[in-house]
Amino acid sequence: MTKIRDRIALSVAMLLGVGAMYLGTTWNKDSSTQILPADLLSPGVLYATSFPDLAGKSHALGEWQGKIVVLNLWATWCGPCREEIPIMIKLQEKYRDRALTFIGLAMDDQAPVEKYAKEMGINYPILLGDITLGEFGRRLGNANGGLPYTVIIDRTGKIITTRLGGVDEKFLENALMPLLQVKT
Amino acid sequence: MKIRWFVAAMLSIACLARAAEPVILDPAVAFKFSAKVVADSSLEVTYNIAPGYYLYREKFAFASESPNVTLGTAQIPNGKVKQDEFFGRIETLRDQIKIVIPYVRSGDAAAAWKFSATSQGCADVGVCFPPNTEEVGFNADGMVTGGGGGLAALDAAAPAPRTEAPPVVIPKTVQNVAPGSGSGEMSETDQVTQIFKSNNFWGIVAKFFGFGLLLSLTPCVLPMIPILSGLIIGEGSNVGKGRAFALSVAYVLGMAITYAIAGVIAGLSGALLSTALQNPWVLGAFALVFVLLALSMFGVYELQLPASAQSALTAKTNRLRGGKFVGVTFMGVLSALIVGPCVAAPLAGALVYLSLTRDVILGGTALFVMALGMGMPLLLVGASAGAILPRAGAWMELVKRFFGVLLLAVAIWLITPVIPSWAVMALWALLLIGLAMFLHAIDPLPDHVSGYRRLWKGVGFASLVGGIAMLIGVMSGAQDPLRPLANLGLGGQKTALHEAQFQRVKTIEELDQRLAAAKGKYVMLDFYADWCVSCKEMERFTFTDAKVQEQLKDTILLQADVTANNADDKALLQRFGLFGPPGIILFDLNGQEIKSFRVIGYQPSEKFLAALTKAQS
Repeated sequence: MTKIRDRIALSVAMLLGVGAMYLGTTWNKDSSTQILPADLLSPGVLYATSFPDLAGKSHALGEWQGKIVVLNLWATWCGPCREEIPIMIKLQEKYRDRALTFIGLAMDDQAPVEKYAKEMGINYPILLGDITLGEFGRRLGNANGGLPYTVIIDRTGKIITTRLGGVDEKFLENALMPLLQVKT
Repeated sequence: MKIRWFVAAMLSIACLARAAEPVILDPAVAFKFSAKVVADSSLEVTYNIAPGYYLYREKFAFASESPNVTLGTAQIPNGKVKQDEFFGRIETLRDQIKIVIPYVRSGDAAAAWKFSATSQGCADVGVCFPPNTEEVGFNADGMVTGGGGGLAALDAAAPAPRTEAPPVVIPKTVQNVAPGSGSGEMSETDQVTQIFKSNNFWGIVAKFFGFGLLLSLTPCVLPMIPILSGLIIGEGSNVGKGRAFALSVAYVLGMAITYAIAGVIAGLSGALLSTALQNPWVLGAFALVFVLLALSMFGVYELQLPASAQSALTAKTNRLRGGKFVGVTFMGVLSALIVGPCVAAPLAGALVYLSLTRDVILGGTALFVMALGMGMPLLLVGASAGAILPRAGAWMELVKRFFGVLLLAVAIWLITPVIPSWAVMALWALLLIGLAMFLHAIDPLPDHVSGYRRLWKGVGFASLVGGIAMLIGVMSGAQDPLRPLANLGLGGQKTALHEAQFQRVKTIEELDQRLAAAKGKYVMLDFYADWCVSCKEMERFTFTDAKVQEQLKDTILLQADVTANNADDKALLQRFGLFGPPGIILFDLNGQEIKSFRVIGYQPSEKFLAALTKAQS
């Protein structure tokens, strides 16, 4: 008697689990292409925007015009952001010769960022953003300023993909693949 | 089978959580904020945190936006501790949290005022939010007049996009948790205050009992053991096991009641607790009681009432079965008052909370059970004394004398803060020499005596030498009973920092002037009083340490002597939320208090140095 009841319960739970998993995967797919604001940053405005680096020197994003840019908004105080940094370091190394650069835009203080970048051996440019990204963030499609937020920009400054929350290697490879195949 | 069912359920829950991943709430919704004035001088800030979201305990920042209101230290509940690979220990808070912030109004009491609260958190799905600042306005009656919607909306009005390098404006919250700043560090008082965080009444009470047990392991309780033993032995040789235990219970209850009452009173009045109890006359009276008790231990007289009164009392006691207990309970009350300053740090934490919440019942109960916990070893002493003590016998006399010496030692210890140091040394010298005489230190030993006799003679001789050294010390003007021969050039080169470098401050105005003048330098403020034992310990053992002196070389040392406990002293103490000395406050290069530092109670030099180095780096 007990055994039968347990078995029924188990089956129901499994069904629920599978159903949820299905839902989860479909929702996740949706999230990779978020609904972007109507006034999404144009290439011109994007390339004109500048941020200081760790030494305080200002860089306009236009410096990377002609390259595929993976703009990663992060902070040292954000645990999930730190989890994906090793992946970014690895992919930067892999695609260094393919005119692709990661840019870490840190919503953070200079000191912890410098310490963390040194510790991790971050091999791509780090810029410092204002902690409340405000209008810039909103026009990147990040309305509530959540981190990590990753924006993939093609060689002409057009925003291709945005993603709130952690990314894994597969997600990045899939998103970058079509861009890397375009001949320059 | 049950396990499998459970695993399956967990699996589905995990998948559901994953399914919800992309739905990220706005921080203003995920961390719903409200604030109200709860008492006439406290704010209560509430965050209702959505499931799956959490706030960082270290990232809260509260600020008064009006010059006429000064905020005190926010009492933030404890969170779940997790180890962060980069920041070390961090605490996270979930569900509903309530934060109490005391505030002081000055100037125009009728003016409306504003306050801002900054919080920062993340969602479990792996998204973190920038600091979110909410502003609330209050009118003179403490009613909310506006705000609460957050400042995030202002961002929309900001010009976009930025074509210049944006200034790196980092809110204070982030600077507070810079790596290595020890974001998880709390001062001892904070830790105690945090125990009150949960709303579970009995949970708090249980924690305080455990806390009392821990305190019982400190030397604070030691002086009580001879007092209690003296009381039990004073009962006579026919103390039964049960009666000894009952007496101990009465004593501990007396102590516990005192703590509870003192806690409640202090909570209601915010008065300087230990000062009132540490009056020289009160101390002197107790010391006298101990001397009298000691004398009876030495058999100078029998502590007995006249026969007629005694028989009347015995008759009464037999009827009431508690006549003696009242006396013992009273001794418990007195002992609690005397030992109070020794446990100043935990007491201060409890009292701070009391004065903040006005939850007199909870605070009183917590202090009561804390004292019960402290009394546990005393109950053990009581129980075992009744079991061990012989009904009669020669060595009973020895035990009595031993306790006599201990009682005298307690008497000296009691009045140490209020008499000159040379007198303290002289008293110790006399006690040691007296002890030596009782141990036959200079009496010739018969040829064939037991090893024990020889051992006791050895102890007596050591005591004699110590006593003589102290007498010589007194005559040579030494200050420290532990280093009586320092002035003879035999001791080290340590010098007390106290008189040499501490500058006295008397009022808040004076303190502010000194702080303003000391811009660019660290400032340390030490609250001191003549009766404060741990202040003297700090002075003697910690501030004399060469390494501590080196670390303090470029620090401006201020001292507030609050012995008098006048209006200025009280104002100074209240400014830092202190109930009395000891308290050491450190200010940073801008004259702001480094809150993580705060030392309340005695700290040995290593611990003090570590905290100081950390705070000043």
